[in-house]
Amino acid sequence: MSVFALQAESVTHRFGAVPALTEVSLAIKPGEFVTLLGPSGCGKTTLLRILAGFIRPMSGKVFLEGQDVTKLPPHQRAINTVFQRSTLFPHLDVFENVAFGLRLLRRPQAEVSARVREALALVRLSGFEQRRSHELSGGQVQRVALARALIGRSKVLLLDEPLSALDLAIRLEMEEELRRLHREISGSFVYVTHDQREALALSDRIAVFNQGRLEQLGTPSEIYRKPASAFAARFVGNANVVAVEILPVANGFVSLTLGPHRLTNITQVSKVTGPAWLVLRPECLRLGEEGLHGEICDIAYRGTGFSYRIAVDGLAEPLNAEVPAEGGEPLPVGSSTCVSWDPASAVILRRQGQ
Amino acid sequence: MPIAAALRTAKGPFLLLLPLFAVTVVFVIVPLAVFVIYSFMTSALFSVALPFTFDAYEAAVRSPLNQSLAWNSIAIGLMTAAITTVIGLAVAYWLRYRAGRLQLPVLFLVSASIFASYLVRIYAWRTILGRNGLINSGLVEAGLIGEPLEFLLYNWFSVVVALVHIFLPYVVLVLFAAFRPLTPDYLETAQDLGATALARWQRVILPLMAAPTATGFLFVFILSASDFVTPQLIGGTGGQLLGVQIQTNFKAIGNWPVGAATSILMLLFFLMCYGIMQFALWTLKLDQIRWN
Amino acid sequence: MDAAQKSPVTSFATIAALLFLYAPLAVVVLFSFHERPSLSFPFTGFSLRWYEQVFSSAEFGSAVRNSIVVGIASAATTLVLGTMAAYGLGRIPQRYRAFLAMLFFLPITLPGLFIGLSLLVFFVQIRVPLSLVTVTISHLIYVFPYFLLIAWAAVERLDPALEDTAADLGAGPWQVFWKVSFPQLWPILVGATSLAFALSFDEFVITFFVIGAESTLPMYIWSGLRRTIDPAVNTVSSILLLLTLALFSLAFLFAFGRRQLLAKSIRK
Repeated sequence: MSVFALQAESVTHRFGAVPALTEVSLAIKPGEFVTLLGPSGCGKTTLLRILAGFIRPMSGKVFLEGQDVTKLPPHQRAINTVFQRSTLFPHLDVFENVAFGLRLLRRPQAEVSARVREALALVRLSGFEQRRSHELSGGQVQRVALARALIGRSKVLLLDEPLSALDLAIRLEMEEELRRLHREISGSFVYVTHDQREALALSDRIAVFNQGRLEQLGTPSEIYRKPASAFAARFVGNANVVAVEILPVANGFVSLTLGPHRLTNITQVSKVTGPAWLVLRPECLRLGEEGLHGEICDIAYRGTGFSYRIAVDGLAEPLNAEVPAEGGEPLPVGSSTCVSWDPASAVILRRQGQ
Repeated sequence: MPIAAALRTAKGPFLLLLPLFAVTVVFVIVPLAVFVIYSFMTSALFSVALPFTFDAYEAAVRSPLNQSLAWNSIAIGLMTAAITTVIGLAVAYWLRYRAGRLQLPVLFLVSASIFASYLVRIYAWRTILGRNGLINSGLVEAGLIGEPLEFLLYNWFSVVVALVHIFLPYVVLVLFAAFRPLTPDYLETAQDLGATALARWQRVILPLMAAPTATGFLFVFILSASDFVTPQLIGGTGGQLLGVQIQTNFKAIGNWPVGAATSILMLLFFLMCYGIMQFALWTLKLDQIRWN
Repeated sequence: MDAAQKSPVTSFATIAALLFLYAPLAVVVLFSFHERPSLSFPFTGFSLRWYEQVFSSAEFGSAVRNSIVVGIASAATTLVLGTMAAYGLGRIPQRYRAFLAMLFFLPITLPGLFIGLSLLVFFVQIRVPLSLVTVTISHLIYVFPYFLLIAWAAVERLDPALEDTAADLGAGPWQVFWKVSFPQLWPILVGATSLAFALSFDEFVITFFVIGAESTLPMYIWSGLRRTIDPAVNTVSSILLLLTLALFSLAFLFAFGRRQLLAKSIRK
């Protein structure tokens, strides 16, 4: 138990009649960067607030370094949070904001000064002590918030979408800051976001949430290449998810029906039979002479390549394909093409119901 | 229409303001000026006469009655302001952070009570606090006391109670409006960093609300200290305020310059209080909060 | 904060405050129906005798009439002058605005004692006899800052693009006002005007100094209060209470109710 820095055990919570979290269990190792990822309303923020202590879950427990803190209010938990919008106290300058937690503990002035300077140096804002919050840029504000949260030297830091209010350029810069900070202080970070790109770039492990349930927990690479559900596949990486029927294995090859087509040897062998999802990531699709026939219905230039949407004969939904710009001419809208892929890159998932 | 044409010009908006401006100048500024001038004149029984003199000010300041009334007014004013501010902060806090769906109904109730007539309120308290009033008869019936409590009415206590009753709704509304930019995030952050409820009030809420709270406090202090109706109806001996004496000077005694001088001195005192308050806020850098 | 440890202190304070504010008023209304002329418990029974007595009183009737006339006069004047001023304030250059705002809101910052006294002194000096006219004028002074506060905020919220479009299409300033601004403004103006009327109807402090031989309703109550226990005062007070509360509810509904209804209809 005490091996984990922070642990949620079978946490369930409802808001009135609306279920927010159902039997969520998550164990975060010391020094790990874990992202809670999902769309709005999936429960990730609720879980974070439960971990911070702002919500007492209806059932389940929270352990901080082995201690049961479920009933402890936020001010008694050794966890700090960085909020989405700036909550720097406007009546205090940067120094006093960062020192806030230490002042509450009545630490001596010398210690406070030293630790504040250290914290500001950590977030590379030395010299900003006298500034006020309205004099800071968006990125600087969040860096001060980080310093303020980290000065307590707690083992776990919670971050509630701290970058979503920032401009894209600043966001990318701050992502780098976060990675650097995480390396330097070796604490655990629990990060909430709906931006899958951010999650992939920052995390050691990602917890994918959907409608209050933890759908998949794994490294970014695992989540990306081996999604455990149709939802995870669509949400992370924007994969094509096509309903298929797997036919009984014959001659060692996998056959399936995809719309009106019957295909063989287009995926690796899978234990799944019957209704299934075929997950094809856009960058794995190849357009050429062989494969499923279709018509290009949209093309967008992405700098690094082209995004195509291809209406495949017999399929209800068009497929998305990402093709690198190698110097070849882009295929015009309306032209015919064939879609194929390396069987090793396709993923089969069991499909229930529809 | 010539008016329409005039309105279309750049001077148009000024024309719109002209009537109200004229009314304000004629019926607010000029009367105040006349009032100030009167304070420098000689009394002539329900009127004034030349020559100009400082006699009225001297008489106003030296009068022992005025002095004791002044102290009483300050004391009662401070008490009223303190009680209203504390309760007002609590209610405004509740409305802002705890009310949920009850916010609008409770806001309505609070604002509606402002319209309960000023006189009716004072009268209501006279009924309730009297020898045979609600509180006393209730306590006697319940056998808790043998004799009715005399101190409830016709002294400073009833004046303070009535004045708090009158000003509480205003203070609640002003403070509620002031709480707006203080989103719950700030309080959660403070809590997250280790602040107990007391610490949150001390280090976050009160500093950020210092300016509006001080303004509200001053507002109640000034209006309470200058009230002259409450003391006359339920003040008795211990609850008299300076405003009563001023009113008496004008309506009964007829010594207008002294009445005017006392009023001007009161106004100057209030202005000084306002100045001190602003200075204090400025020194603490709490006068203007630049929200994020 | 959804945590389970919310302190009950502020909830207590709110409940206590609401009880404190309304209990005395409830007592007044209750005893206006008391069958005996006593204003202390126990409460023996209901009766409308005091209401009969009051409604048949000629003094009461004339006091109410006067209050209504003064109220309408001051509210109407405030409406016109205040709306014009609200409009004007928004359109003049910035440097004049602060000064004029300070001037217009001055009456709020002065206690009624000083306003009443200075007006009394002024009227005497220019030899204008004290009457309902002087009362109306002083009510106008007292009431318009409140009206202006509300009206100005409402005018600021108007979308200038709409007015520009109308002017562009050929409408004169009068038409722009009637066809474009007024339809948006009128609920707020109705609310603010009822507020003005309620404030005037209830005004006592300034009226006390500038009134002549006539009486308004608050002055009538005042004279009743100087006398000894007279249950009729409860009755008159209750009537005044109910009237002003009804007016306020109307104003409140106009200000908030419409917005809620509008929001609901948009959501559909």
